[in-house]
Order: sequence, then structure tokens, then C-alpha cells
Amino acid sequence: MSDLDPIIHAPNRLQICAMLATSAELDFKLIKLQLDVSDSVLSKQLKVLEEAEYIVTSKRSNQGRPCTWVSLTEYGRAAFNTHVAALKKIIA
Amino acid sequence: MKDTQNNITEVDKDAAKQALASIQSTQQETIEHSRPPMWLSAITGLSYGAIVAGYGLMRHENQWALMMIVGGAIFAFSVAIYLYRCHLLGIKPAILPRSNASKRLNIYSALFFAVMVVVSRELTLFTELNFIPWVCGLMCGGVLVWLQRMYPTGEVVSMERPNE
Repeated sequence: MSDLDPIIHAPNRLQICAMLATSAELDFKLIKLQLDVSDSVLSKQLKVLEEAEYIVTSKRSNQGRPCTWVSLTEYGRAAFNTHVAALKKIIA
Repeated sequence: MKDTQNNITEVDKDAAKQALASIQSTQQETIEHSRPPMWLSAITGLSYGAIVAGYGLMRHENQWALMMIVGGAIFAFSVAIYLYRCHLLGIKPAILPRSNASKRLNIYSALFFAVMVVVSRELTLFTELNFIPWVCGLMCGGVLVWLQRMYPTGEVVSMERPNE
């Protein structure tokens, strides 16, 4: 049970990490659309992950519009992989 | 790392299965979202196949050299469309692999493509069998289309079903 990460285990944060593990960076809007949550809920979840240094966010301008890109850090990727391995161990 | 007080006391089998299923469906959805349309995959695969076949058949800048150059231009254009499409969708594909599984896939793919290019050229020069570059080109194009369909974001994610 000790391998399970309480920060990642929350349903929304687990889905955010799962999404981010598939690519280099994802747009805030895409994550919001896929999770079907409000801006404030997603921002709150991202802040928790960012404070744990699992993700990094960068704000960039795209044709004059501000965009927030989110990516998993190496530390976050390792934590997510450990969490998934721990879940698999439970059902094994 | 910030310390959190909400420790997980107990996770039973069902909860773990549910969590894994959630990860699986989320990743599947993201991959399906970023998968290029079939026509774009086909153009990329065919143009790459044309480069390999053209290189294998090329002799002293004959018409096959032109096929290789045109194939290269179409290939570069289709990759640019794919990257721009991803950008519009809000996805930045991983050019350099991050996970070990992705690194392995990249190395095996690069080796396969390199071997195919060398075989396409050298074997045709030695044996004068002109169908070899076409076979190699077709194989390279096919593998490229498969890679685009299976791993459109450049990262390898586990596709095993936790309930099975």
C-alpha cells in the first residue's frame, strides 16, 4: 500500500497524469474538455500536482491568445509509473 | 515535494481495477483524439515508401531519383500537416522519447528503417532484382502507418485491459 501515491490517486489527478503520460505536452483546454470539469476545478488539481513537482505548466501565446501547456516532469512520470505498478500489484 | 496528510489507508482489488480501467480509458481517448486521419497516414506512408523505393532503384540520377525527391517533399509536407494538426488539437507529440518503452520502440524502428534502406539499395545492386526496393518501400510505408496509428503521440502506453 505504501507505493500508492496519495497525490496521484485522486480520480481527476490520476486521469490528468494518465493523459500527460501519452505525450510531451497537452493544452489546458484539451485536458478540461476530456475530464469534463470547470476551469477552477482543473486549475486546483493542476496546482496540487505542480506543488508536488509532478508537472510543469508554461504559458505561451498562440496567435495572440494565451495558452497554458502542461507536461509531466521526469519525477512525475516516475511517480505515476510507480503508482500504476502498485495498482497492478494489488489486483495480481 | 509537498507532504500531504491524506494518506491512502486501504485500496481493495475493485478500487484498484477501477483506477486502472480509468487510466486505460483516459489514455485510449487521448490517443484516439491525436490519431491522424487515415488519408494523412496513407500519404505519409506512401511518400516514405516512395523515398525508400526510389533510393533503391536510383541509377545515375534516372527518373527514380525524381521519385525519391518528390516523395521526400510530400513526406516533409505531410509531417508538417500532422504536427500543425496536433498543435491545433492541443497536443505536443514527443519527438524525443521519455519512457524506456518509447526509447526501445524508437531504437527498433530506426534500426528497421535503416536496414530496409540498405537492403533496398545494396541487394538490388548485387542481384539486379528490381522488385526488392518496391517490397522494402511497401514494408517501410506499412510500418510507418502502423506506428502512426498505434503511437500517434510518440509515447508508448500500455494497452492491456486490467479486467482481463
